[in-house]
Amino acid sequence: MSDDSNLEQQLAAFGRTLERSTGEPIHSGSGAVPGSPHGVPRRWWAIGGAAAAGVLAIVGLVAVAGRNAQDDVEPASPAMTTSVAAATTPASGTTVTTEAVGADEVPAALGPVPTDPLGLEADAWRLIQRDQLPFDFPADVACPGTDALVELNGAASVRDTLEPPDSTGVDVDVNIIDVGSLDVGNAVADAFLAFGDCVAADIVGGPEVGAMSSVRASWFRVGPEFAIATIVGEGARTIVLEIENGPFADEVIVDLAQRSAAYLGGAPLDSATPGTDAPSTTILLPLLPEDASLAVPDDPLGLEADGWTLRERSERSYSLDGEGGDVECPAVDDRTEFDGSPMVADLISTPDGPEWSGFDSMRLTVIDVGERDRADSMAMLIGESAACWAEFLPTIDPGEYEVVAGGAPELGATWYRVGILIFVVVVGDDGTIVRLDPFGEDDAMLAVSDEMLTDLSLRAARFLADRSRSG
Amino acid sequence: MGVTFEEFSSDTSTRLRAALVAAYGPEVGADAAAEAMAYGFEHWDRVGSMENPAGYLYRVGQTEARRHFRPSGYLPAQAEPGLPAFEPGLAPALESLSEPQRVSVVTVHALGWTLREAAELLDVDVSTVRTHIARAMTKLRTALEVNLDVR
Repeated sequence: MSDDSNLEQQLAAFGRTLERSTGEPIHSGSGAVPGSPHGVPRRWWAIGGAAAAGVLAIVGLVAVAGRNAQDDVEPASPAMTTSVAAATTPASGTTVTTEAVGADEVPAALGPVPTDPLGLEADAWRLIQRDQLPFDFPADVACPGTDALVELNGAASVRDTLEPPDSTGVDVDVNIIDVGSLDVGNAVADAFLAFGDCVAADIVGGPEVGAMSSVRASWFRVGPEFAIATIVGEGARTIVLEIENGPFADEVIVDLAQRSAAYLGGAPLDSATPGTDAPSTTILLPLLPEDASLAVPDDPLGLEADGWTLRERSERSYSLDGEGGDVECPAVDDRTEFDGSPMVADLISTPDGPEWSGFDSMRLTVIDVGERDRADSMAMLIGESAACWAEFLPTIDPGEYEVVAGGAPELGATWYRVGILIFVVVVGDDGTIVRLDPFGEDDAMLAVSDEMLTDLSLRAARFLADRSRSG
Repeated sequence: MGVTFEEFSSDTSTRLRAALVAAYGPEVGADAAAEAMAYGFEHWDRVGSMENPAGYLYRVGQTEARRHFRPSGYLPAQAEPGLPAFEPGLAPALESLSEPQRVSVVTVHALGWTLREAAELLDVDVSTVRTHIARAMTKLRTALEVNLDVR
């Protein structure tokens, strides 16, 4: 695809074919014509900002909406933008008031921002783009649990998008915002931390939170790909760092936060250790291995000798709701704290013969989640998913759906059966997991024997034990 | 109950089929949608009183689809005759997305739904759909080796 191609147009063309392939119209949406410039914001932290503003309201900052919420993804019109100033009222504490300003007035409100304010170019970072625009949280995005609109919209800001020298795909936005006062800056920082909890409940696992003393600098990471840090200056400026497209190390966040604090004029940070010296320092996610590959031998369970056939192998990152994620259930499908873990997935066909007649294929996934505790957590999640499906399946086919479990618990090898659904999960001491997801026709799946499942789980346990012994 | 199944069906069945086709491809997705609507018809007394019947039936369709779903090659890889062509790598790239990401980006960008329509059917918040789309577009750009600023 050439650089001039438009991904949205490609998707629109794909939609036309998808529609025809069903033989019936499926484009019933009332939205814009596919391929039109939706302007979908790629900035995840727009949501964070929305939630932040929501929490601002919760913590008592009374925001005055100066603009309408938007139903879709169109950016705010410049004429609708507002700037933020702080005032104090005896009754309610700090109040954020807004006043309409023209877009061309906004940069002046922030004042000059030097090129490369964080001194990153000396370390071979590359400035991709600088935007001097009103702070533009889409108004209709709010994290579940917060209803308030986005009231920082229109605050003067400069946003630098930077790329680190190693071209790992990590993308950093340095957002320097005039939030009006130190009080508002502190409230923004509080809001983003609260947002971490909110987004963790709604979107992904986490958050992982760290903070530093001396300067009001806090950050949180949600999953391996995203982190947001807020650094509050003594004046009206606050920096919000958005780091995405990870994985990246905590040290990256801390380094950028320190640089931001230095730019804002804060005292030198005396702690560079992630998550230390902070009121809330829960580290939930260990760093992902930099090398995301996972060495798995051919036929790890020794099934080929019994006539099984490898149909397809893929190596990718684990996604609970993607390949290898068949355990998702409505009640648990947002829990993606293992997203990004290295994974090898084999799709294998069962041999002919009555002993394996229960199912026609099986997905075998080997996942390295880093450590035994996390592996145990994942195994528990799969068990919870089985229970979830037991409640959900009767909606399709009322009947006797209950979780039946077996295996060899002393080896960390468990299988679950919920009607036609079968999950096998085996946990290794080194943090590697084997999951088996058999497929087949309904009646055949019901006929899969407990002995077969136990045999498979023991094969997986032997593989993982050998793997641990070999280091 | 204010809405009859017929009224509900005329408004929702097409969207339900679209979302499930986006998730599981034309073959499995269309069958799953039919099964879900059949379930809705049979149990309309209960389903019709739910807060979001469409979202519930989408879950029903997911359950049905996952029995038959295979992990690759289920989306059309090339344009139907007479329709605009698209990048051959697009379908595999879409298949590599997580299901919520794929459904979100296909319904909104390929089929022209609003975020709110997608959110309603997926029974999630608009913000969640937006996040799924943002992540999906990033992954698609990477997979297709494009560098588009979509803002």
